[in-house]
Amino acid sequence: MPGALAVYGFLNAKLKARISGLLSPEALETLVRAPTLSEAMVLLKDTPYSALEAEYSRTGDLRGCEALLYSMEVEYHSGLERFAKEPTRSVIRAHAVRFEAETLKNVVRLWFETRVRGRPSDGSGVYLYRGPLPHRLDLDALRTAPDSAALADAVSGTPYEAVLRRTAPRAESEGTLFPLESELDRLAFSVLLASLDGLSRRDRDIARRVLGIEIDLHNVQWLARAQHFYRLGPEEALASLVPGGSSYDAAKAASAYRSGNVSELTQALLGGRNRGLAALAGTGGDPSARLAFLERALRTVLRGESGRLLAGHPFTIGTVLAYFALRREETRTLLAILNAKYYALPEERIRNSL
Amino acid sequence: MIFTTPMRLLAAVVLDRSSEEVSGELLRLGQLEFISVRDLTAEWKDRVAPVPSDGTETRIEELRRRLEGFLRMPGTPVRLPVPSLEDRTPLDLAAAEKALDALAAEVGAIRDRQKAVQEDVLRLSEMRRQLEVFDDLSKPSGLGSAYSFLAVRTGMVPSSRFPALEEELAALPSVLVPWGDPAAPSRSALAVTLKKDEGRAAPILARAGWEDGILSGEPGEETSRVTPSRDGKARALQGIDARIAGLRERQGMYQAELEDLFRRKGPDLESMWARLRVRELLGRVRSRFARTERTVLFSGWIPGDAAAAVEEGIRKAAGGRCHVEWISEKEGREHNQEAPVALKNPRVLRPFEALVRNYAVPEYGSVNPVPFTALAYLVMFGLMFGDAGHGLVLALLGGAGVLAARRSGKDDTLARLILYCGCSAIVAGVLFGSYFGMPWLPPVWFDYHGVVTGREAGAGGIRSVYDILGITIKFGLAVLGTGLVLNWINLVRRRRWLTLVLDKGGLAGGWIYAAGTWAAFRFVGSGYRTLPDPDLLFWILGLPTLALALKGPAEYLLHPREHRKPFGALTIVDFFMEWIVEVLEIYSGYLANTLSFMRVAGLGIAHVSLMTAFFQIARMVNPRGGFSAAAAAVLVLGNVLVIALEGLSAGIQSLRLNYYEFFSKYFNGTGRAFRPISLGTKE
Repeated sequence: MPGALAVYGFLNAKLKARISGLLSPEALETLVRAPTLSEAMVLLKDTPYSALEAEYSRTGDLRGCEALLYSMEVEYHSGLERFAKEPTRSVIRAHAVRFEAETLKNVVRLWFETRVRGRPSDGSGVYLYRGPLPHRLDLDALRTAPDSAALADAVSGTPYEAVLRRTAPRAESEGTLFPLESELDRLAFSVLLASLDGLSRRDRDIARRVLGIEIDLHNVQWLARAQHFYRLGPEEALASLVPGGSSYDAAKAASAYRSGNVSELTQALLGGRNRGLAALAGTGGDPSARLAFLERALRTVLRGESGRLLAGHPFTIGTVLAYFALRREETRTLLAILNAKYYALPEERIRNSL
Repeated sequence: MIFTTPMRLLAAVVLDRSSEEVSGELLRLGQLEFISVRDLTAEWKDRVAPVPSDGTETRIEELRRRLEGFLRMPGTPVRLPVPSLEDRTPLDLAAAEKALDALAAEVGAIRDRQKAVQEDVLRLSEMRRQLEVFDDLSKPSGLGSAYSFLAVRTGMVPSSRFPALEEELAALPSVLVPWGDPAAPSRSALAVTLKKDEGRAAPILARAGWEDGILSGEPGEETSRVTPSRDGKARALQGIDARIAGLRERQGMYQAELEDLFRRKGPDLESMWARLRVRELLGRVRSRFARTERTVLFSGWIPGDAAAAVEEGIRKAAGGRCHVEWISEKEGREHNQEAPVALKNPRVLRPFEALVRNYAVPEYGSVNPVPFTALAYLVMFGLMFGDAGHGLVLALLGGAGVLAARRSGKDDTLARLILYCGCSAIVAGVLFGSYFGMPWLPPVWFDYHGVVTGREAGAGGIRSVYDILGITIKFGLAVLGTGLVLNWINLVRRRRWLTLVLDKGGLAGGWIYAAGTWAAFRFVGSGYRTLPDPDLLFWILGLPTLALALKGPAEYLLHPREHRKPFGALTIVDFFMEWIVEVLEIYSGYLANTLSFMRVAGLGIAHVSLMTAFFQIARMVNPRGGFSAAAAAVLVLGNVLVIALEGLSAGIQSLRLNYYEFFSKYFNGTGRAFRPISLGTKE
């Protein structure tokens, strides 16, 4: 196995340079304060996101910009593969599976809308990401699949085939995508967790810690959706959680989920790792607002962890994972701001949502 | 220019009623870096109050920033003018905000139109993607599956109504492909729309007298049999492409509309920006004032050579009713006011000033490093990149960059640096007789290529690469020696006598370096056999080395007694350790610094070797000689590669040698840059 310096010397130097190009909090605040979407876009002109401004001034289409931003993010991640050496390269490739699962979810949602719900296509298909991904997915075949069997056939030979064979018929019969999306996420995270096995012990510990926070974040988001959007029962909601985050007491979590007590649910779900967050989430008021608060708090934890990794040992996988986390966070923030500008939301509301 | 600009500290009092004129004059002169009067003397702290603000500063700044955003919106951003005090005419902020809101609405309306067109483009693209997967529209089976998002119809339409149908369908993402004789009473046609638009397409078709038909050969009723079109799919795709191209053209028109909007509004926006900027800067000047009941006070640093003009300006603006006091830099320091550093360099040296500032701001009162950096940088670059042809290419690139930057109003520092580097390489190339790696003219100094490739003995005693290495080491000695001398000058100006005598960068260090160099050259001169006499070595190297041991005790004794650590055994250990470290730093550090200059030779040799390699490859491509396109391509590509790679390497290495070898000898980067408030102040 090559030494840490050989594996991370060049890669992490490159990433640190890229991290220095991330938008500063001041730049994001200037975006928040821009009075209109056009004025916000022009602020991106001399940044790494100048392509968004160019696209917007050509087409005036925010969704096109979103699609471009997504493809930039995929490229930022998967483009790193050529600079990485094994076993880190496998981890980077496994990260690309998350984007692939996301793309698959997007196309299945379009299929679901037209085939299951019988709504006419709104032309969103053009925004689908069609760049390189680990597996060859025929997005058009997926979109126009006449039934769930054809949907699974369209991904035959990929790890997603089994998931679609299992869950797509349920989507068709019960009219819900929850099990399908949940299984796709679980699959993507399991690929990612499996890719960590080849790492050195130090790298593995770092990666599991970071991934653990991401999984917690994902699970909190899922629970919020399960409770307020899909209105699932506790058994099904907890069964859909991705393993690999904080270990939790299923019975306590189920009882808290049932009662809608966010504080208890947080405590049960996050265990000792983020015990303080449970207290912060509070007990009274709107549970969905408290879950949103918790999500923001977990993002802060992830940002803090990224900062710690960047300030720590320079030749570990920490820099790679911190870069991924910061990049994802920046994309999310940028999307949130630009959409808020589109809907002319007040500045304070935008700040609260970030 | 040899030293940093001497600064003077101003303290002035003017009547409150003339403060507007004074602030305008200070802004016009743009030579004052304000400091707080309250920080200058403790007794004023409670006697003066800040000048009250009218509360519009933030609003003005936000408006100005918003306006700058608008001015950057067009493809060619509007260049911001340098505002003048003539732009002090009153500006109604509410009206300015309203004007910008109206402009935002106009931009928004254009964007909405662009978006509507883009939606059509996307729908048509989507349609095209769908249509492409159809087999063949000339066969019945080609008309798509029930799972496609497209509605494909074939039918007959009266020829007279065809143009109207075409026009009406154009409002939808659709394509209409006719075929058959246009003069016939009715025409066969293929209409493709999105299924979701079927509700809108059907009445249009009905109004045009569209009659659904079936393709010939297709089983079905004999109501209307349409002759199949063999190239229906290709024509449908062409039709979509044509519509997309038309839409793109419309998008281009909207973009042009936006450009036109800014062209029309540009002068008003520029004027608004200038007025906002002047108000903002005047507000900034006034915010630095302190006031008593009837007077305002202000203080700040001014370059010595501008002091008279500033005083005259203040007196004139205040109508003579003012008091101006000048405080020396030393007195300022006593009040904890460190003078800022201004470097006055000719415009031609600006790129090198940028290189120096990139490293740090030199200490106030020290030698101005810029001219020395410029000279060292260019000589180093020339020695590493000595080819007149390659230099010419760099100079042309740099010149083009300067022109482009001038046209776009952007910073031309890098382009200028490339231009200078190119000129330096041209001079070096003429000295070495190298023109794109070829000896078109005899060398003025020696044939670098000839020496490296062993083709011929060089002139002036330069016969091998070792001689070239020797030249660069001597060049290094000269650079480091200059650095030491500059350090001594800085130390004398700072009156740091002990450091001047007993420091590795002082006279003792310089003595050891000079003696060591002499001894090394003697040793090399003897064919690496004999060192100079040991007694002599003791006097020229041992004595100053021992003298350095006095530095620790001397510093200890000169330190004020109350701040001194108590003397003990550990103090002696400290003295000893400091001495050992200092001596190690001198012997190993100076040796490493000097040998580091061998990289200059290394890169020069690499330059020649790369060119030689490309010549050999070209000969291998075309062994018979004469012209060969392939060999010429190899040479052109080789030259491009060498210019790009070696140019970058030589530029970086020259910078590195300046920063780490030259600057470390004399540069004390503890200064603070001088930042006056002026009309040209950039954010």
